[in-house]
Parts: sequence; C-alpha cells; structure tokens
Amino acid sequence: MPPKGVGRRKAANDGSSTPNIPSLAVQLSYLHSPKPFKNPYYTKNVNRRAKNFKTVLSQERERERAERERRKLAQPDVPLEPDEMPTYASIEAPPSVLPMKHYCDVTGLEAPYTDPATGLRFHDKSVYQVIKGMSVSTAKDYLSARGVNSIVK
Amino acid sequence: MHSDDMQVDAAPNVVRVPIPALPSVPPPPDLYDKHRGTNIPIVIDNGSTTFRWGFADSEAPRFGPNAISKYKERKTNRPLLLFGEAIDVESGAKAQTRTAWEGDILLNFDALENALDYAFVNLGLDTPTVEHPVLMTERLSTPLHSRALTSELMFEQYSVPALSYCIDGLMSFYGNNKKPGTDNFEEDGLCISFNTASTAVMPILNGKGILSHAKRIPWGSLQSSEYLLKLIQLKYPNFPTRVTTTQSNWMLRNFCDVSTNYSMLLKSLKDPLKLRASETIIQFPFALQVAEEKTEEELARIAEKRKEQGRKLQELAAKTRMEKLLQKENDLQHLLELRESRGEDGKREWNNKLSAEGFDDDSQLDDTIKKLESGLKKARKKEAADGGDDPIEEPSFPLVDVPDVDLDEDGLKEKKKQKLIKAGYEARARARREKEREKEEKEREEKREEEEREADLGGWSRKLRQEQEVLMDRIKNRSRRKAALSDRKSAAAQARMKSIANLAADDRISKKKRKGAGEDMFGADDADWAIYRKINTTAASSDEEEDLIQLQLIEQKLLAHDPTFTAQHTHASITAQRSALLTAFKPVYEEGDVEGNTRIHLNTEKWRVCEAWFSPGIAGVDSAGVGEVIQNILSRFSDAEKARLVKNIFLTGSPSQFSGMIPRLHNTLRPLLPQDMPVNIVRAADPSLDAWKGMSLFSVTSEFEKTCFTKAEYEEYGPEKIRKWWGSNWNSSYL
Repeated sequence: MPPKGVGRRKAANDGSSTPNIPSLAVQLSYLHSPKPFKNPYYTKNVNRRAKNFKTVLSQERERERAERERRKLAQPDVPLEPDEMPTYASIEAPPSVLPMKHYCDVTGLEAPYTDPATGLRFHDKSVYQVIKGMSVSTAKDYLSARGVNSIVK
Repeated sequence: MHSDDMQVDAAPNVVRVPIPALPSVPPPPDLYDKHRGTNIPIVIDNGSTTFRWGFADSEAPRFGPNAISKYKERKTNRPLLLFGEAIDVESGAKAQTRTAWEGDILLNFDALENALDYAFVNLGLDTPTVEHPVLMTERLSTPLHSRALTSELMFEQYSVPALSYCIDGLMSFYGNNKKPGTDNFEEDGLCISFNTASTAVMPILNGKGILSHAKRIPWGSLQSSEYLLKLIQLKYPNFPTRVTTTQSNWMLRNFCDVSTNYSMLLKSLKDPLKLRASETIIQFPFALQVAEEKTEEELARIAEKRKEQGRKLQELAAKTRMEKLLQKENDLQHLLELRESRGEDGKREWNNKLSAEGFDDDSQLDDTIKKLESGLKKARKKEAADGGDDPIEEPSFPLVDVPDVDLDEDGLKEKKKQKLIKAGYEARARARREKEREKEEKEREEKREEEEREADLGGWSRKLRQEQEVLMDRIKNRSRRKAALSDRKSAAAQARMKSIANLAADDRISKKKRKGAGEDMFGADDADWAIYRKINTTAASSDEEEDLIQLQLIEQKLLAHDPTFTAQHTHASITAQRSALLTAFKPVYEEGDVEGNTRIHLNTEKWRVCEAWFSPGIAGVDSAGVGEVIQNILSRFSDAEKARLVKNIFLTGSPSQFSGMIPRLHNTLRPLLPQDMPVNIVRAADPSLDAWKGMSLFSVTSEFEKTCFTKAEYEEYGPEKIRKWWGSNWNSSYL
C-alpha cells in the first residue's frame, strides 16, 4: 500500500509550480460567465425569498381555508367537493389504518415481544440480552429510528 | 477467529466504498446560433435531486445535481460559483452547498436562480432576454409560494415570453404512452411517481390527470437513505470513519431492494446461515498500522546490549559497595585505636582528642563504634549471601533462663531485650513452620486429587464441572437479583422493602422490651446478620470475588486435565457468547483487525429501508404506504374505471428501478382486485429522464401553446395563476 498523501502532495506541488493554469474549481466556476439574458432592473424581494418551510406550509393552509370560505359565500347552495381544489396539504396520504406489524428494533426481524422497560421490540431472547445491556440513550436512539420520541420531563 | 472465516467464505460479498473522482471540466457552452430566433421551447425538469434542461429539439437533456455552491477559493481568495457535480471539486465548496429544494418543497430561490443561470449559460443564450417559451415541472399541488416565486423569476428576471407548468410524473406517463403520429392523447393509467422526498400516486383517465384523487406519500429515496444511515449508525455506534449521506445513498442504490414478500423474507432470515448468506459487506478505506518488524539478529543484539549495560551497572555498584566497606573498616580501625589510646593520655587531653574527632563523650564514641561494627557485619553477611543462602544461625539468648536475682541492673535490661528478640524469633519460626505445613498439605491435597483424577478421570471431571456449575449459578443468581432490585416493582425489591420494614419495627419493640425481659434474640445466630447484607444493594459482596477466584481455579484445573473441557466452556466465554443470530447480524472482528473493523455488514437493512415505501410507519412516518394509498384511490372509482386504471400502472422516478418494486406491487394489489381484472405494471423506459423527454415531446405539439401563460397574463392575473390542462396542477388554475 502506498503511503497516504503522496499523490495529494504531488498534485499540490504541480498546482503551485504552474500558477498560470487556473485551478479546477476556477475553471468550473460560472460566476463570471456573461448572463445578458438577465433583467438588470429586476430586484428580488429578499423577504419573500427568505420564507422557511413552516411558514410556507401554514400560509398554504390558511389560504386554502380562506378560499373555501369565499366559495361558500359566493355559492352557498352548491355543496363543496372536498377534493375539487387539491392543495399541497390536502393530497397528503392519510395515516395507515392497517394493523401495524411489529419488527425487531435491533435486527429488523419479526418481533413478537416488547421490553416493558424500554419499549423496544425484539425478536428473541438473545436480542433481549442486547437490550438489557443498552444504555438509556442508546435505547432512545433505537426508539427514535421508529419515530417514537419519548417526552422529556 | 471470525475474521478468518470471513475472508474465506464471504469475500465475494465485500464491496469497497468508491472513491469519488474529481469532476471533469464540461465542454464549453453550445453555440446559440442554431436556436436563435426559433421560438423552440426550453424544457426544464426541476427535480429535487437532478436538474435537467435543454431545448425541446434535443434528443436528451443536459442534467446535473440540483445544487449550487457560492464560495471563496482559499488559495486565491476569488469568489466562485459552482453548479452540480462541480461542487465535489473542493471540500470548501461542498460545505457551502445550497439546494433549491428543501425536502419536498421548492424554497430556496437564490439557488434556483443560480441553477437557471447555469442552464441558460450552458445553452449558449446571449440575447438580452430569454426569447423562448419555457415548459417547467412543478410539484404535485405545489405550494403557491413556490410557484409564485418561480413565475416571478421566469417573467421578471429572464423575461420569458410564455411559461407553462406541468407535473413530471404525468409527462413521463405521456412520453411512454403517447402513440406516435397523432397529437391526441387519451390513455388511461395509474401513475406512481417516485420522487426524492415523496411518492405521488396519480390516476389518469382519457389522458387527463385526475388530481382530485391524487395522493402524496411523504416517503422517498431521501428518507430511505437517511433511514439506512440511521440504522448503520445504530448498528455501528463506534465506527472509525464517518459514513456520509453520499455513501448511504450509494448503498441504497446499489445494494438495497424492495422485497417481493417482506414477511416471508424475514421468516427465512431468522436462520443465521441465511442471514449470513444475504449480507453485503461494505469495506471502508483503512490504513494498516505499519509495525516496525525487527529481525532476529537485531533483537538478539538489543538483548545483548541491555544485558551488558546491566552487568556494567552491577559492577559499578559492587565497586562502590566495596569502597564504602573499606572506608568503614578504616574508620572502625581508627576509632578502635582511638579508644585503646584512652588510658595513655590525661583526661583533659583525651577530651580534646574526642572533640577534635567530633564526639561529645565516651558513650557517643562507643555507640558509633557499635554501629560501624554491626553495619560491617551486615555488609559482610550480605556479600557472603550473594554466593549461597546460608541457614541463619540460631541466635543465643543466654540471659533468658537466668533468674532475675542473679542479675544486676544492666543484666536485667539485657535479659528483657533478649526476651523480646527471642519472642520475635520464635514467632517467625512458627510462621515459617506453618507455611511449610500448609505447603505440604497443599501438596498432599494435590497428590490426592491427582490420584483421584488418575483413578477416575470421568468422575473427577464430573465433580469439578458440578462445582463450576454451582458457582456459575450462584453468580448468575446474584446478577439476576441485582437486576431485579433495580426494578421497584419486582418481587425481590418488594421483599427487600419488607425486610427493611421488619428490621425497623423490631428495633422499636426491642427497645421497649430491653428494659424488661431481654427477649431480643437477634444475633444469637450468626446468620441473622446476613439480613443486612441482603437489604444493602450497593455494597459489592465479597463472596462474589471469592466465587470468581474459586471458579477460575476450577476452570484452570479442568482446562489442564480434561481434554473435553475447552476454552469455550469457561464462564468468561459462556457469558461473552452471542447468539448465532446476533453474530450473523453483526459479525464481530477482533480488536486489532483494522480491515474488519472498517466494514459494515448489511443484511436485513437492505430490505428494511425499502419496505418503508409500503409501510412508512416502520420508520416513524405516520402515513399509509404505496399499496394502501393505491387501494384508497381505486376505491373512489367505479369498477369499470378501476379496470382501466390498473391495466396500466405506470412507475417512474429512480426508486422505481429497484428490481423488486414491480413484483411487490403486483403481490400487493392482486389480492385487492377482482380476479378477472387484469393488473399490468410497467416501468418507464428511462425512469430518470423520461419526464423531460415527455415534456420535450409535448412542447413541440400545437397544444403546448394553449397551456402557456404569457407575460401579459402573468401581469394581469398574478404570479400564482396557471392554465388548467391535462398535465398541469389544479390548484390556483382557471379554465
């Protein structure tokens, strides 16, 4: 096995000995490529661009509610089809109603048992031994992989 | 032990983590002349992983990861802007990566603007505005915020003449199902579009997407990859190198698959051998520790050198010792001569002589002489002892047996001293005899045992094994009790509380009674005191250590003499034993095995992370899976429509390429539908690029123009409105 960093050092030396050739990153950059197609008078609205995930979604819900109200007022006789106006929130798949199968939190195999102390599901007694030897935080990590987040009191 | 097995039987499963290659410099931008003034649409598939763009008349789009990086190169301090794969060029660039998408939502419009800049530069545009209509994808029922800002960019920043939005899944369906030669599109089907951060199911009738019945499952390849990474981190909490998201993505794409029948698979993987056979081993890069190998000669030379040094030191020490001894002898000689000369001089002269030598009076001189004499005696003895261990001659105590009356004051003192020395001497002798006796007894015991063993090895071994068992049981019970005590509700803990209560109650009664009749019998039996040990949970029992020592002794004997008793039967290895299943799940390598310890064994995870598409609940996402959602959607159609939909179930998007996906969907859907209803599931010809290809196909039809929003309309209706057509979203649309 060749010693580590030999190739890298060589590359760096090459770079410094031939400073006329721009680095790969500089060659790849398109910061200074001409972009005549852009409107020089356009100013972006920084505030509108800075919205985060949560605000966008709650705004969306609010808007949907307002739209429903408006249509109700305009045509009070026509019953509103719930999905006539699908929105990002309304097309979300519903929670599953099928019985949830239990899988071992450690091995992923079928889990007929649950450890009452940690709430972890396990496949057999050998996995139970593993769970017994687990620290509280490790057990929590395993639970959170299944989306069970215990409430910290 | 394990590592050896591994190299032999599992070598074909070992895959090395690829080392990312440096990005190459892309060819220069196209010449624009071919498209100048043509009005040929520009087609952009703005996917959350991949950004694809091109003129509608090209065969295939250009594409790259939908990410940009704006940063300053450290060496030259020049600001740079990189797009897509180019970001991998430097870690500084990677750290500044920005993506337009945040999970499933288009949110970062600076990044989108930079990506669009790249696309337009790459297409060679050199006109003051983008003079081509644009067909662009948007998310199914996209949040209007995303659309508004995208439209704003398109119309105000790039001044495109017309813009139309479509849904990528529907366009992929169109591209794969459109009959050539006609512009009419009347196909039916159920499109399952596997996106990066979500999966959309859209029914299509007469070529139109029925978006009122479409559903989105919040699970995609991004979540699967994250889930895989989490499982790896849980399985290998102390992995020497950091596993990156790029690597987990690579593992997902290359080694994971959708199981056609997950519960059957899990049942078979219960067998450790099958579990083992199913694994893929990911070998991470590692550096072997180069141990400095020394030749035999060198080692010998070093040993010789060390010995030589030791010898020299010893010689030196001996020499100084001799010198000291000589000095002492000289001193003694001198002092003795001095003492002998006492009588010769007058008292005054004598005193002067003494003080000149540094003595206060006669007694001090005597003391010093005595000290020197005894020191010399000791040193000589030691020197002699170096040769051999001479038995220490028994000191004589002549005064001990002399009656006190025959002695004067000094004699009495001397007698007392001798008595003490004698007692000490005798005690030492006793102890020595005791030791010898013990040794003899031990030897006798060993001999007896040996005889017993030789006479009946089976019986002897049985006896010892039984003892071992008893000890192990005791240790086990103790640890079990300890565990039980940590649980407040356990029987052991309750019993403990009861005894504490009893003790407290006893105390109170006994105090009263003690005044009258002393009836408290606690402590009459030594065993009574054990109760205190029983209720004390924290104190480590001394029995425990004793048991362990005893156990070790027995095991050593058995190991030495019983050929059937191997290292595997010892307590240590029994307790350290992992079940075959756990060993197969995560094979353990020895401490120093650098290669083995930079390996990740994937087995159940390979299917577990893909199973989440069908039941997101296993990864903590409270949502119906693909199968259930399809069932829900189908239930809202008549049987006739249902038949039309399931006849053409169409999969698109990269995750549809898992080889198990189509059979699994078939297995899931077949039982839900009437027997005589044919179910047909097809995958897009190119799940990654077909959306763009369908879009380019559509954008050259006459219908395309009708779907566009012009700049004038944008200014009139606002940035959120679109025209509703078969491939578009429904929200905020008008007919």
